[in-house]
Amino acid sequence: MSMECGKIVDVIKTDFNHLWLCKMRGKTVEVSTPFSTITKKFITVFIKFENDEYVVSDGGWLNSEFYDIPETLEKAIIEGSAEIHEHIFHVKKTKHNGINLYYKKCKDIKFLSACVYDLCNFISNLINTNAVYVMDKEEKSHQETFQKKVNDFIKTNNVGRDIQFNGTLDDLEGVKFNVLLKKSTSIYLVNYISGSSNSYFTSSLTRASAGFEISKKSKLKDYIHKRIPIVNDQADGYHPDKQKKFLDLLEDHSSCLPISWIHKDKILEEILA
Amino acid sequence: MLDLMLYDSFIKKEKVVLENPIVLEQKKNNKNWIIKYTKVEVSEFNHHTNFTPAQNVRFRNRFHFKYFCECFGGDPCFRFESAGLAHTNTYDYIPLPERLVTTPHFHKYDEHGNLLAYKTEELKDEAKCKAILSDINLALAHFCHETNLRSGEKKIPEIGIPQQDLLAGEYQSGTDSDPLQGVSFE
Repeated sequence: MSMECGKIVDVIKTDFNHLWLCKMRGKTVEVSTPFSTITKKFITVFIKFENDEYVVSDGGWLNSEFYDIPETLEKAIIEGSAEIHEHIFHVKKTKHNGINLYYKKCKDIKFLSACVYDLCNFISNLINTNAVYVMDKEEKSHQETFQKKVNDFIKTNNVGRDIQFNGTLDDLEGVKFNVLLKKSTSIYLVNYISGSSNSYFTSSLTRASAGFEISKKSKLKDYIHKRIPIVNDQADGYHPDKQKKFLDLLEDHSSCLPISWIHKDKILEEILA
Repeated sequence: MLDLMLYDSFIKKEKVVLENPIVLEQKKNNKNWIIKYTKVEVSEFNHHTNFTPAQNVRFRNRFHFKYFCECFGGDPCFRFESAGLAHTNTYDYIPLPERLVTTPHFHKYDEHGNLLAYKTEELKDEAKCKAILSDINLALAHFCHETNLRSGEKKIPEIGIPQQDLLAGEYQSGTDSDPLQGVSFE
C-alpha cells in the first residue's frame, strides 16, 4: 500500500470512529469514547442539555468500581490527586447523594467536543496516575515476598558465615546483589529475578544482568568465583518466550544457567560446590 | 506463567457448587455490594476453586460472577460482568475497532495467555441479551452453560437474595437510569 497521507489518515479516522458509541438514559446521552485507561476500560461520559447549557460529566463513575481501580487504592489517593488534575483540565466537581461528580459545561455546542476531550483526559490521567502508583506498590510487595522466600531458604541451609543480603562489593557502591557470600578468598554473587508482569520481570532481568556485568570491572573480579541467577518461574511476569533475549543476556553474564526457583536445591549445589 | 492447557481444561470440566441457592451477604469492606465466596468442586482437578457471585445493592442491574483458582494466580481467572464500562482488549494482534467490547461480556484467557473480554452469540443478540440481563438468575444460567457449572443436584444453581434490610438505600433499576438526574451543576 502506498504511503499516501490522506489514505493513511482515513483508515485511522474510520477505525477510531468505530469506538464512539452512545445511548440515551432518560434525557442524558451516555457516550462511550475511544479514550481508555491502563485498567483497560473505555472512558464513558454523560451529556445533558439543561438551563441553556451543555453539561459533560463522568456521572459519578470515577469514584466507584467501574474503572477497575483496585480496592487497595484508598479513596484519599484519588481525591488527593484529583485537585491537581481538576486544576490542569479546568474540571469542576459537585456532590450528589454523597458521590462526587466531575464535569465541564458550555453554552455553545461548538465547545462541546472540547469539554468531552478535557474531561476524558482528566479521567484518563487521574486513573492512570493512581493505577501506576498501585501497580508499583503491588510489585514492591511481590518482590519483597520472593526475596524473603529465597533469603530464608539460604539462611536455613547454612551456606556460610560471611553472608550479606543486598550486599555490595567494596569498590562498587550502589550496585547491590541479593546475596554476597564470601568463603575463604572466593566471592559468590547471587541475584534474584521476579516480577508480577512481563515489564516488571524484564526490568528485573536487565537489572540482574547489569549487576553481574558491572562486577566484572571490579578490582575484586578475580576473586568472584560465581555469579548465580535465581529465577522465579512461578511469577505471573515470567514469560520465557517473550523474554528469551534477556534470559540469554543473563546467561552470558552468569556462571551457570539461571536456576528456577522450583529447582531450588540447585542453588545449594552451586554455592556449596 | 499461566498453564494454558490446564486452564482450557478447567473451563470445560464439570464444576459443582455445593450451595444452592447461593445466598449473598453484605461485603465486608464495601456496603454497596452483596457477595458470596463459595467453594466449587471441579472434576479431576485438585486446585482450590471458588465461585463468587456479587450484586450491587443500589444498581441491581450491576452484578458479576467470578472464578478464583489458586493455580491461575490471585485475580479472577474467568468472569462475567453485566454492566459498566466497555472493555478494551489492548493487544497488538487485535485491530482497533475489534478492541471495543461493551457490557455485558465475559473475560477469559486466550491462546496467548492474555485476559480477553468477549461476548457469546447470545449476548451479541439484542433480544436474547436483554432477556439474559432481566434477571440475575437468567444471567447465572447463561454463565453456567458457558462454564459447565451445576449444583449438587445437577441443576442450574440460583442466587438467593438476603433480607431486604441488607438492600436498604436508594434503588435504581434497569440499565437506563440517568446518573445526572437531580444533580445540580452550578
